[in-house]
Formats: sequence, C-alpha cells, structure tokens
Amino acid sequence: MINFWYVLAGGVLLAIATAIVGVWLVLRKEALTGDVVAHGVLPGVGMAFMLYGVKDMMILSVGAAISGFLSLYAMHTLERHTKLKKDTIMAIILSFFFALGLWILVKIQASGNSGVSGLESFLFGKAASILPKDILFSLISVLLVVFINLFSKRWLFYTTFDTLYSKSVGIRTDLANHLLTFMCILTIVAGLQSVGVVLMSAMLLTPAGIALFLSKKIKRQNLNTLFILSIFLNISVVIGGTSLSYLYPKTPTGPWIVVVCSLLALGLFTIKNKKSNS
Amino acid sequence: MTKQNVIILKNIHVGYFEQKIFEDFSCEIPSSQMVGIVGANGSGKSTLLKAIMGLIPNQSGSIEIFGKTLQEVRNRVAYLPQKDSIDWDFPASVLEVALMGLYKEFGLFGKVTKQHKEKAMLYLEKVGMADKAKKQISELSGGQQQRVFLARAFAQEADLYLLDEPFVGVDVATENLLIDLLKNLVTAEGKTIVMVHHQLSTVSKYFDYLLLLKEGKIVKKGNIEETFTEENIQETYQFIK
Repeated sequence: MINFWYVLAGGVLLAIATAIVGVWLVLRKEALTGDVVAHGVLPGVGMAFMLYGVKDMMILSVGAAISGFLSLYAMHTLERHTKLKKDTIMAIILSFFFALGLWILVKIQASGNSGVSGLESFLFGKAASILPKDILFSLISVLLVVFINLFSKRWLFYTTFDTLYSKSVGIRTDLANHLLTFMCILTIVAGLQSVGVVLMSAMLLTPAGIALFLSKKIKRQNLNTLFILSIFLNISVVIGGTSLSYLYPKTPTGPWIVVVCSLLALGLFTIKNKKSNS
Repeated sequence: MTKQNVIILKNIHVGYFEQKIFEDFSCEIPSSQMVGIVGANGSGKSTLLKAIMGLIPNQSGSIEIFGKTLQEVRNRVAYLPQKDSIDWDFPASVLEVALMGLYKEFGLFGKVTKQHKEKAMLYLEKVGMADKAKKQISELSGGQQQRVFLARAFAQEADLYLLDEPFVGVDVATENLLIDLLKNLVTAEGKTIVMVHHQLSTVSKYFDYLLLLKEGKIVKKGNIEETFTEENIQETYQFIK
C-alpha cells in the first residue's frame, strides 16, 4: 500500500509539471517538440550510465538534459540550413536519437553491469519502482517548473502570441524558447522513471489539448483557466490510472494513465461534437 | 523647407537564405509625415520595415533612426506586424493585447497596475473597442482585430510608427476612423507614420510622401504630388500598355 502512495505522489507531481509545459507546447503549436525532446533524452541517459556506472537520477538527468538540448539544437540547425519541412526534420531527429538511445541501452545491458537493471524502464516507464528519492527529485522539478512558469508567463505569452512584435520591443524570443525547452527537459527527466520516454508526450499533450478544447467550449479562454483545467485533468487521470493498475495487479501504471487520458479525450471530443452537430 | 530625416538606410544588404531582397540599398525617410510604401508583391515592402526593426539581420551597411541605432531608440518606435504573423487562436483578451503596448512601462516582470489598465482602456476607447475589452481577440472580426492592434501601437506612444498593411480586412468606416487617428498623430503631434499600403485608390488621400518599390529597388521617392503619377505606378507594377 505504501508503494501505491509513492506511485500516486510521484504521478501527481509529474501531472502538475506536464500539464503546465503541455499547455505552452500546445499553444505554441510545438506539440511534436515535446516528443522530440522525450526521445532525445534517451542517448544522454545511456551515456551518463556508461560513464558513471550507477543509476543515479541526478547523474542520469544531466546526461538527459544535454542530450535533450542536443536534439533540439540539431532540429533548429536543420530548420535554419535546409528547406525541409519541420515535421520531416522532427521525425528524422526523433528516430535518430531514439535509435541511438536504444543502441546504447542494449550495449549497456550486454555489458553485464550489475547496476543495469531497471534502465529499460526508461523506455516505457515503471511507476512501481519509484523510490522516495525519485519523488523528491520530481518535487524539485515541479517546484522549478511552477516557479519558472509564474516568473515567465508574460514572456512566453508575448513571444507565443506575436513573435515579431515581441522582437520589435526588444524581448528576447530566443531566450523564451530556451526557457520552455528547459522546463520541457526538466519535466521529461522527472517522468523518466514512471512514464518513460515513449509515452511521455501523451501525458504532456493530451490534457493540455483537452483543456484547450474545453476552455473554448465553455468560452473561458485565458491562460489561467487553461493551466487549472490542464492540471486538474492530468491529476485526475493519474489518480485513475494509478488506481486501475493497483486494482489489476501486474498491469503497468504509465500505460494505464495514458490510456485513461486518451479515452477521456476521445469521449469528450465525441460528446461535444455530437452535441454541436445535433 | 526640407524636413529632417527620421530613418536613414545606407547601403544595406538584407535577405532570406540565399535570396537577397535588398542589395546595397539606401534611402531616407522624412519626419512628421504620412509615408506610404507601395509596390507589387515581393517588392520588399514588409522586408524593409522588418530590416528597419532589426527583425531580419542586415548583413552590411547601416540603419539610423533619429540619428541613432535602433537599440538606443527602441522605445520611440512602434511596429505593427502583418496580420498573418499573429497567432489569432491564442487565449488573449482584447485588454491584454492593448496592454502589450505598455510593455516599456512594466517590462517582462513588473506589475501591471490599475493605471496601466486605465491607459490601455483609453486607447481602446480611441479606436472604439473599449466595450469589447473582455472579449477574446479570436472572437473579433478582422477589422476589430486590426483596431485593437492599432490601439496597442498607439499605447506605445512612439514618435515613429511602422505599420505593415494595417488596413487588411478592415471595412471602409473603420479605415476612415483609423486614418483620421493616424493623420492626427502626424499633424497635431509631429509623429512619423510609415505604412505599407496596397490600395492604390487611397494613396493620394492618405500619404504626404511616397516610396515606390520594385524588386528591392526604389522606383521613385518623394512628395506625393511628384511621385504618385501614372507613369511611376506603371513602372512599379510593370503594367503593360
């Protein structure tokens, strides 16, 4: 039972951070960027483990952050210097980093290092293996994300809404992008253990997408409503998903959360669309 | 009497990727006038405004505004981007958009006070949008959105206004209201308005000074009476007789 509360606490913390970052990603029409970073962190996690040989979240996070930034840097460089469409570039970068990450993880597992067990959980998440120190790490990440969001809300608002105007009054739009990237990486690293890289984008984007949809329907579109709705939805699905995995033993929490979240989205979209068609 | 130049561009080189829009381009824009920039699509009208605002890097040459660099006089310049560069789906209220014009007063981290809101409301009132202050910007018509954006530009209380096609999607009544407000800024307060404009039928009515652009080069510049001639327009738009 104690483990259930650990998983729930970790999940709720992660839900708050992903909900906030997700709203910005959806508003900036950069939903896939979250996916790129989520997959982009994998080689960094592997490399950090290779170098230090221990599964310490702090060390792995540094590797993840470097590799996540590199994936975005590669994406932006290709965008600037080629005429390829953004989605093509994203697909290339995402698969390259993911493949590289898998290659490194397989290599590590073949090495027979005793500390290697559990590294594979970074792919699909393994919430049941959450430890109090992981929760502490999530707590720090969430506090940082919440603080940065409060501090930079106007910055992100102006640069998202009207980039050219923002630049014209001297606002650093590039720094705003970096700030969001930092929040994104922080959140993804916090969720590595419980949700994993593959399913992370669902947790980042689905509640934010639902929140945007609902706020339009209830005609209460403002940033604060979006954040509150997104956080509330994300916490609800985390509670739902965690409870389901507890009720049906030996079923994974991360996928449960994502399935619950996606079904909720599908249900809401269908009901609302039916209502508006009738 | 010759008026002082508010913008001086000397031998600038500006472009996107390998495509050069302006090569070795020089021009001056006089102060306290309604200045129109007219030309066919792709002639570089918007790019010129963006280059002045430093939104596209100038590879060589110099740009002076009020005899200084943009960085030094940024607070005296207001820029209204083209409509399609804005994310109209963003959840922002009309008041929040107008408040953006007061950015230089509260910056990124300062508190937005009651006085700021009152000031923003004042400018919304000027463009007839005060009653829509609480509405979402996405709920407004194209003309109403442009009114709000001009209120934001007015709130900047600048000395130089660079407006990129402010009348796109605007009805005639709104356009008349806005042009009166802009002309008043020039005549009563001595401000300079530089505007990219498409409607040839209103050029002579709106502007004192005209810059005719074609493929990144000036076809003609000068007072409206001298420049807005049949011959110059034909040359600018490559009309075939």
